[in-house]
Amino acid sequence: MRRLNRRQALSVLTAMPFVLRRRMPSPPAPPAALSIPDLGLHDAPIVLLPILDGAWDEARLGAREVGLLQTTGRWPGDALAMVLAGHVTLEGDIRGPFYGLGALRPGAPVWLKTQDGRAWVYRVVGRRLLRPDDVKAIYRRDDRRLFLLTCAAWDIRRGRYVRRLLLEAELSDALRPG
Amino acid sequence: MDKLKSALALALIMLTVVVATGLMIQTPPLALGSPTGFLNAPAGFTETPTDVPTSTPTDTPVPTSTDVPTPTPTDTPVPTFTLTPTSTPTSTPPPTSTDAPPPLPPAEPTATPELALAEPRIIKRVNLEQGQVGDVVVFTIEIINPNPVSIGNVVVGDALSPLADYLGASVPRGTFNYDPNTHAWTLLLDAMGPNEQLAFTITVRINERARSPNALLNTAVLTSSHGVTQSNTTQTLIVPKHLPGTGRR
Repeated sequence: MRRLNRRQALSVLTAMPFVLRRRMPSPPAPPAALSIPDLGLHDAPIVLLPILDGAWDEARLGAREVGLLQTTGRWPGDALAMVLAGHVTLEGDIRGPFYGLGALRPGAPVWLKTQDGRAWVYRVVGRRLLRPDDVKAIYRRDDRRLFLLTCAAWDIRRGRYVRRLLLEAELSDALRPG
Repeated sequence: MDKLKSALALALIMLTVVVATGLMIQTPPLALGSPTGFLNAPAGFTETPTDVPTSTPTDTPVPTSTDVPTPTPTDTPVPTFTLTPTSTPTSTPPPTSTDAPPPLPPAEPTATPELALAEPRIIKRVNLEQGQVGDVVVFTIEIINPNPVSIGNVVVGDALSPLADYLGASVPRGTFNYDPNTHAWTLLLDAMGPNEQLAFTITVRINERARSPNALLNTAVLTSSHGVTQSNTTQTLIVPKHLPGTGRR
C-alpha cells in the first residue's frame, strides 16, 4: 500500500468533507417516517426490521409501521439501496400502509422524513413482481435507490400471497423542509 | 656538344638527388605515443622509441616538376621500438600524447548497491456479495511480484471461514493444502519470477452454520522473503432465504 506523506495526508483529510458531501446528500441520519401522498399515507413510522433466526421479523409490523430491512441500506446515500417493507393487508381485511402500492404511477413522490422534519424526496420509477425467495433482488449497489416491498398476488386456494411487489423509487431532492 | 649533354645529364641527376633528399627530410617522423605506435605493443609493456629522426623543416625548395621521382615507401625511416616489461600497469607513467587512453584507476572494493524492492501485492475477490445457505462461493486470489527480480519463499495463507465448507482449489503451480480442523488453506510457491502475476481460486459452499445476518469475511496473506502482505477483506453477506411476508387476511 502506498504511504502518504504528511502533506498528502493533510490534503486528503481536508478534502474528505467535500467528498462525503458530494457522495451523500446529508449526514447519515436514518429516516424516521414515510409519506406517500398519492396513497394517502402520512408519516408512517419507520422501524428496524431485524433478522431473527435467519428471517426478517415481520411480526414487528402493524397497520401503521413500515420496516427498514436489516442488512440493506441504512440511510439515503448508503452504498446499498434502502428497502422498506409494509403490509398490504392485515387479518380482518384491514388495509396496511402499503395497500394500493402497485397502483402508484411513475413520478409519484415518496417522502422519507427525518426526526427534525426535513425530507428526502424520491420519485417512483418502476415496479417488479418477485418470488418470495428472490431475496438477492433487493440488494442493489445504488446510493440513490429506494425499494418499497409488500405482498402481492393473493392465492385463494393456498390462502396466502404468492408474490412480492417491489416498487423502485429514485432520489430526486435531498433534504428539503418536509 | 657531347660534353654539354653530359653536363646537363649530370646536373639533372644531381638535382634529382637533392630533391629526393629534401623530400625525405620533410617526411614527418612517426609521432611518439601516437595510436599507430602502440598498435603492436602488447599490454603491460611500454615502448621506448629509438633513433627517431627529428623533424627539422628545411628551406629546401620543393620542385614543382612532375617528373621528379618520388621516394619509395622503403625509403621512409621507420622508428623502431624496444619493449620494456613493467612490473604493474598502474606504475607505468602515462603516455604523453593526449590521444592515448587514460590509465584506469585502481579498483577499490565497494559494497554492492542494494535494490529497493516493492512490496508484493495480493488482491482478493469474491463472486457473491450476498449469499444464502447452500450457495457456492468462489474466491479469486491474485498475487503480483512487481519487482524486476525474483522473490523467494512465497507462501499464500487463507484462513477460510467455518461458515463454509471447503470444496477445492485451482492453482496454476505450486502445492496447496487444506486443514479441515483449522480451515487454513496454504499454497507453497517457493519463488515468484520477475514481474510474475498469478491467479488462483478457492471454492467453498456456505453451510448451515451461516445463519443470516452473518457475513463470510475473508482475508488472505502473502509471505515471502520480502515480508508479509495482507490482502483486502472480501465480504459475502448471508441473507435470509425468503422475503418478509407482509400480507394477512
